[in-house]
Amino acid sequence: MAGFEDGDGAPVDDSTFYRRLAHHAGLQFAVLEPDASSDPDFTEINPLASRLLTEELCRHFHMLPIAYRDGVVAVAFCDPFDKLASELATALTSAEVQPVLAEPGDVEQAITRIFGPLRTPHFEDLGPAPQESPRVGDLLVANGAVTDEQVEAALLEQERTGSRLGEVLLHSGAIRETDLIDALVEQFQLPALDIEGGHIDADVVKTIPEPVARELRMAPVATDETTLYIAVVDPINTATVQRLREFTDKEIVGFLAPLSQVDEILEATYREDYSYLATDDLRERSPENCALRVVTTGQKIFLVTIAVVTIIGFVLASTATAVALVGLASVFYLAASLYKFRLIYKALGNPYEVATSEAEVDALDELTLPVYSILVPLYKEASVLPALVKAIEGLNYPKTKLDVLLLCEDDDDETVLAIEAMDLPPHFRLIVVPDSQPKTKPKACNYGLMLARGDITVIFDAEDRPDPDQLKKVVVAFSKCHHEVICVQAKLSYYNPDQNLLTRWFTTEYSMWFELLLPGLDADGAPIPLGGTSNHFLTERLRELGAWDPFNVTEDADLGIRLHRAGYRTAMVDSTTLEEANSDVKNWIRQRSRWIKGYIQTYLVHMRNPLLLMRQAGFAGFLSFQLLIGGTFIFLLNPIFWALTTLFFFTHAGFIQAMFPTFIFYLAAFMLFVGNFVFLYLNVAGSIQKGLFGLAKYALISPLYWGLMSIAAWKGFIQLVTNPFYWEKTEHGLHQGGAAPAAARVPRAEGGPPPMSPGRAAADPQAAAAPERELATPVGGR
Amino acid sequence: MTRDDSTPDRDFDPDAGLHEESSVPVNALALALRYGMRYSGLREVELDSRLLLYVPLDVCERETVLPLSVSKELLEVATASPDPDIEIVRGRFPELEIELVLAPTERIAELHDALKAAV
Repeated sequence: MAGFEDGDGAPVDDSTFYRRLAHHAGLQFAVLEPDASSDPDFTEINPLASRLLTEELCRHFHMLPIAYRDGVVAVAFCDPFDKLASELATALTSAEVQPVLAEPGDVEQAITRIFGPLRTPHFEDLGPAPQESPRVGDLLVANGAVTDEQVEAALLEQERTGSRLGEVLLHSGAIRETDLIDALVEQFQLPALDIEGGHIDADVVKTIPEPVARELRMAPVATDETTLYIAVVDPINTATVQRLREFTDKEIVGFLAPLSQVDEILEATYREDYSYLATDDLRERSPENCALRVVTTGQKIFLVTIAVVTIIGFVLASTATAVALVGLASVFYLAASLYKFRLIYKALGNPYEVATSEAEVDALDELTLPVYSILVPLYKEASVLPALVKAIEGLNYPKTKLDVLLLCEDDDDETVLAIEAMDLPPHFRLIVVPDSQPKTKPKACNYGLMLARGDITVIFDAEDRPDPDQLKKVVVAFSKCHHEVICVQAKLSYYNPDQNLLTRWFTTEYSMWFELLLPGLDADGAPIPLGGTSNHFLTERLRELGAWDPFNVTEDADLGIRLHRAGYRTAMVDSTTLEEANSDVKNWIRQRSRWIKGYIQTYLVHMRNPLLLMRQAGFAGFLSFQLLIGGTFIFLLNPIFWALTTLFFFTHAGFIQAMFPTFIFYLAAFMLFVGNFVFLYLNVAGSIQKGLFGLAKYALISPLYWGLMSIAAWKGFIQLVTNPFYWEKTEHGLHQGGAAPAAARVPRAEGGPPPMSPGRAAADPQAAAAPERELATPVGGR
Repeated sequence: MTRDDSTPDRDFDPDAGLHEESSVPVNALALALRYGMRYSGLREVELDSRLLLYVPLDVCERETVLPLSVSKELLEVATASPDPDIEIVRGRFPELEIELVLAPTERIAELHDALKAAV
């Protein structure tokens, strides 16, 4: 049985087959070969009409426009029922399409006659414009938007990065979005979207699901019975139409629009949804991980039971109860100190940093670099914007692959207006986070994360000055790390360590944290509380984790623990971000009280189910969590013991002596003298390891610093009870000289373990040493 | 119990007195006999992918049909069921007569695979 029989059973040739198919389908048949001009079905191709579609499109779908008359384009198809081809022809020619049937060979030869021999092997590589169409660079030059020299320079960058020429020019600031749209309209002969001030129905925008619209860089803007009109950044191609077919059967007509306009449409439509998710996504997905509820019922029962037992103990046997409490506190102090000893010892043999050489950074192929999103939460920080922009512009990363989201609060007109006035290039996006509670930095970051386009996302604070090579170093680091590593953090240090005593202490504290404690934690396989800035995440993994807890005021530390519990790990890269050390005591206490409050929040959240925590983090990780995060409570205890000691010296009160029987007394004395010495030593060693030799002597008087920490701890603790989600704002720009220094390359450390002997800390510095996290805005909680 | 005429009869025994030596599954043949339709084992088919212009591949797979040949006035289509939904074909070619030929489901599926490989 033959496929096509013609009386004698023999298959017929294509000419007969397709003529007959046209007859059966009621379509016109066309012969396109000029040598067959005597054929009654011969149709001469209109060369202008034939260029209404690109060569690649014609070759892929075996079709060719052959005539154009009265707004109707006759297109020769080999398959007149190919709906996709027909829709594409309609969408891309913006005209009614009249299908005509032709033989495949005839169509192919006609395409070759029109466009020349086959050059493009893959349809996926579709360059929307045919070779003969004017190039966008030429059009921009012709329009007077750029010079030939600018185009030449942009072409070199295009070759290096693989980015589009128009985008290279746009991100370099050489042209504006309107210039590019004008050129693209001319190049593709497509209409531009002109809806400034027009109303867009949210229901229409929602025709295409938001993630798809964002991925395809488009937004539906209007519809009628037969057609969906879409604002598109890129001309519609086959893959796009195929994706859209899942959501609409209507004819699709695209209008060119700048990306910023598409973003605006999407954000205006989904603003409330984003805001809701930024606040409630984690709470809904895993309420057990959200700090909205400060203490659970079980925790309340436990705490009340402890309190009742203690009170009863004091009533029945006050001295014995006091001795027991002092003994427990001393044991906890000792355990925390021994653990610190262990961490430092472990750090000796563990290079936590992922080594990245300059050669590796230089060898990175910019064609393959991922898109990088930078989230910068801002609140009333207009004054630091110029320095921030300068620092980001100074990053050694292709601008076309940067996606900088400046996250402002709805009530911060000052910063919003300042950003708008700066007329920043398009890799900067101003995102205004809707006004809702809680107004915290993590909520703003969650909002930004939903809009982030990058494969990697990093957070910088407004006053940060990252090492220019930091992003590339992180790319190198990720390529070297095990797949469990989903976060690479950079080191933090200060650009004003010598401003006053407080900034010196602050700096020694950071040095100890990054140079000694983090490597120790890593070596121990323990959860690592993240710092608030310069954490680089794999974006999708971060989203899967539920991102930051908007109700936790140290959301980064909490995320570090959550990340560890989920089986992921962090790493550190040898790159430093410079920040401003807090130089004002009141400002410092506000900031530190927030950190300590957040650490307590984090402790309470993860201790809701201690057995589960132990199972997920392992026994060592569980113990580390108790001593590191739980060690925050030491700052609350310190003033009590200081007061008892002082009182005893002056009064020799018998009840105090009774609280310290021999064993407890020696334990406490050991902690006082040996532990404190070791802690001082660690501060000194951290400074030296960081190369900050001049600060070492100030570390010797850091016990005074602990007094401040205890004040901050009590402030934070009381606030946890009275106003748990209040975000204590830290002021910036207090350093001498006003403007921060420009970002500069930080000398690369020689690597290897910290060159110091193991020591023992008497008090727990880790909460104090937690890297700075920045503010979004202070609020009064929920 | 009433029965839709288009529904195959589950009680019908197509083997009774029929082609016991045939290696072709009997369901299609039984249906052909029951509904008085032509039957083909599709052993001698020469596949022609051009015929998918008449019956698209997705329709072929969904309805388990296969265009076999076309002449000036007639499109011959193999089918696994007596009443496939090929309205789209009838709509596109209203003047064309369509003749259904019952054929084994498995054989049609094999030919689909062969066609896809050829396309």
